This record gives sequence, structure tokens and C-alpha cells, in this order.
Amino acid sequence: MQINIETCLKALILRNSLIEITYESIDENTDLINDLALDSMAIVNMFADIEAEFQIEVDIDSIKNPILEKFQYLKEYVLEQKKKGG
Amino acid sequence: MSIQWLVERMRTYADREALIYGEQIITYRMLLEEYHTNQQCLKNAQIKSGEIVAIEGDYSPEVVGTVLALITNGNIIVPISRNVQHLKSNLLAIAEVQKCIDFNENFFRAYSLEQSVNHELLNDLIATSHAGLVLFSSGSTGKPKAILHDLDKLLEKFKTNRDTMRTMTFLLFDHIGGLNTLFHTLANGGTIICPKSRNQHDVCAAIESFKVELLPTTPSFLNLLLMTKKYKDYDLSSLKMITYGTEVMPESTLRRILDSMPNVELRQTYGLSELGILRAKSQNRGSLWVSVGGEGVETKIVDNLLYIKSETAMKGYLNAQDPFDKQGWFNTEDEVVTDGKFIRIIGRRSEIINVGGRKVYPAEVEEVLLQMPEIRDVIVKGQPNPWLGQVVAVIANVHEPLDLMELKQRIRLFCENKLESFQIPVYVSIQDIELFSDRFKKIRK
Repeated sequence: MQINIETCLKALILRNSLIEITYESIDENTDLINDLALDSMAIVNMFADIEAEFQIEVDIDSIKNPILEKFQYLKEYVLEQKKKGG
Repeated sequence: MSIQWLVERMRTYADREALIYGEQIITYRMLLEEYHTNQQCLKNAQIKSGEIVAIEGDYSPEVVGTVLALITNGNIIVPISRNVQHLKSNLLAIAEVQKCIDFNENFFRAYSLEQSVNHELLNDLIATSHAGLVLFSSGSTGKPKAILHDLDKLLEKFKTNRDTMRTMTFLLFDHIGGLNTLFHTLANGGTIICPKSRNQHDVCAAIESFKVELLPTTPSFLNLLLMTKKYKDYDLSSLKMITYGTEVMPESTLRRILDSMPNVELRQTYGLSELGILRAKSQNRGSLWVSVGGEGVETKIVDNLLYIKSETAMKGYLNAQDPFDKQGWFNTEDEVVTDGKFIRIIGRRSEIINVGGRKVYPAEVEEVLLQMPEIRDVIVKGQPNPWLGQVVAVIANVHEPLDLMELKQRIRLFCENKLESFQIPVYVSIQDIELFSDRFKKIRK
């Protein structure tokens, strides 16, 4: 499941990115804002896509880690929300 | 109120067709007989002048005759169409209705509701001995407001002779536009055609059967007609004019109607339940620019909002605050742009979506989305968002079944060069049921 989530997440990021990037260039330490130039609209769209794709709710108020600073944090957040959802 | 002037005029029209209801053809002579019969019915039912009377139905000869009789009798009339049966008891309470009239298999029936009249506006109007009218706003964006009119004032403008046509009463019996059509047509010797229902089949069938010349309708209905191409199954060659109003007309819908019906004149109307129907003149046949005014009407634009002062304005709301300022101006809440004396309505200010401080007009986004071949109809509204305040959400009817994520992707790609990023929908949902009310107006709640 983790590999699938990673694959899907990267696809969603690629879809919403405002610059030309490759699947391989996204690694655990990729900063979504600084490295991928995601602006506020792109982030909002990406979260909407994540909610639809993984059937979870992205609750900004409950996020503890800076999930946009590292791809790894975003992935962990999605996994955690998926587990909560059952 | 004396509508003797109207009765005398109708008498001169004698054998002309006044009203076509279902398959019944009623001449002016027959309609006046109905009027006189129902005057007697009011007496028999002890309906006194000044009483608030609800009347249920559609534009049947019995109902129209009774409405004329109630006006003569000086009653405050509360028309109730069949579409609001589920709200009826609430509406009757708000309007402090004392008596109800309906027609059970064409037989006049009146019953009392044992209601006292307490509202100051109602009592003020009763004291003038003028007939009155209570209408309810459509409630497409909130709870219905009860609007009280002095009917004597509202009917004054119909004393001026004007051209008329064989006109369909598409707008319902309890709609200001529908009542405007009724009185305008009767006052000028025209013919009203009431279809069996307002679905596309019955409307087109009635146009064909009874040679309707004028169809007053809504952009949502026209869009539906174009999407389903139902109009091609009927001979609509009698149509000379289509008037549209009640909501913003998408430019794409207007263009397609112009192309599909090149011999039909298209005219935008402008009116509000609170102010009556105003005289409106389109800049030209295919234009969304219109000048609004007429006798007894003044307009002004403040902060891009249209304000109107009208002699036919309502007395007030029965269940909301007085919306007029001290000088009698009414804020329509319609945001407009101007070009000389012409205005173009962009949308209701309350429907504007604020995405991180940037304004999005739903109609502008809908305009683009309606050009997509996948989409049959669409509504755009704002959805709360913790980052940006609001973002754009769309509900779509699609022609063929489509995966939601696929539609979302197609929408984003299609809108890329046509809209700015903040205007492009973030949330997309697909709905099977129609996106407009039974009055063919988009539901934006």
C-alpha cells in the first residue's frame, strides 16, 4: 500500500506542479513549495486531489508536521489519515 | 379597486381568444362571464373587501376570473401555485391569509382560516381600500420573503395601450413576470396560452398547437431546450419573440439560441418581485447589454451595484427589514458593468466567490464550462477553504457517464487558457438531477 500511495502522491504533485519536473526528481526530502514552486492555488488543488484520490479529509488544523516542507511528511500524513479512515 | 377600465376593454374584445388552458379555448366574452360568476361566488362565500385571500391554481379561466373579481372586491390576493404546496401553510401564515379559494374539479371552494391581521403594512393597505398582492421571492438563494404590493399602483401602467401577441404563461401564477404577462395581455386584447406543464414537451407542443408568438422564459429552460434539441421535434415557426430574465444569460446559450432560431427576436427583460417588471431594451438582438427604465423608474449605479427607484415598488416585506433607503432607492444586489446608458448584469453580489481576495463571478466560469462537450449543465459556487477563504466548486450534469477525476482533469485542462488559475474549479461533483428549480432558475444554495 505504501508504494501505491507514494506513486499516486507523486502523480498528483506532478499534475499540480507549475514547473516541469519528473517523477524521479521527487524524493523524500523534496520541498514542495521551494523545490516545486507550488503556489497557494496549486496547494489547494493538490489537497483537493489528495482528498478525492485517497478518500481522506485534509484537516489543516490537525496537521502537526510541516507536510509541505518534505515529501516524506506528506506521505506519512496521508498514510496516517488512511489508517484512521479504515 | 375599480378595474372597470379593464372590464370595459375586455368587453370590446368579445369573441377574441383570451385564454387557452389545456385544450379549452376561452374568449373574452366567456372570461367576463367567469368574472361575473365569481363575483357572485365571493358574495356567497362572504368574502369581504379588505380581506386577505389566497387563491390556488394556475392560469385557468376560473382562477383568472376570480383574480379579477377579488381585485374589484378590494381584497389582498395571495396567489399560490401548485409548485409550493409543500410550503403552503408557512406562506399562508406569513401573509396572514384569512380565506382560501381553490377549484376542486372546476368548482369554486372557499374556506376560512380564522386569522387576524396584525401586520402594520397589511393594515395600512387595507385602510386605503386598495386591492393588494402578496408574492414570495423564489428563495433560490435563501428563505422566501413575502412582498406586499398595492395592486392599484401596479395595474396603473396597463392602462396604456401597447402591442401584444399570443403569449405563453411560462412563468408561474405566483410570479411577478407571470402576472405581468397576464395583465398586459388581457389589457391589450391578446391571447394567453397556459401549457399543461412547463416541461419541454408540453411547452413545445403548446407553441405548435396554439401558434404561440411570444415565449417569456428563463436561460436555464432555453439551455435545456438546446441541450436536448427537443425544439426540433415540433413546429415552432409561429414564435416571433423569446424574452428571457430571472437570471443571468450565459453568452454561449444566447449565441446558440440565435443560431438555432434565426427568425426569432430575443429580448432581455428585467424585473424584481419587489419592483415589478421594468421596461428593458436590448442594445441589439444578440446583445446582453440592456437599458432599464421606463415611466416612473429611475436607476443609478453605486459601487457597481444597480439601484432602482420605481413608482410600482412594493409597500415592503412582511417578514424582513425594509430594504429601501430614505430616498426610496432599492439596492437590487445585481453587480453590473456600464456602457453609456446600457448595463450588463454580471451576477448577484452575494454569489460572488472570494478566492484569496480575488473575485470570481459564477456566471463567468459557467460560461466557459458550458462550452465543454461533456457538460450538459453546470452550477458554480463558492466552497469554504481554510487557506483562501473560498475556492470555486462546480456541480455538473454530464451527457455521458464519466469518471469524476477524469472530468476534473478535463475541466482543468479546458479552463487553462480561458480562465485565471483562481477561477478554475478546485472541487468538481457530478449530479444526475437537474440543477435548476421547478421555476427553471439555477439553484445556488
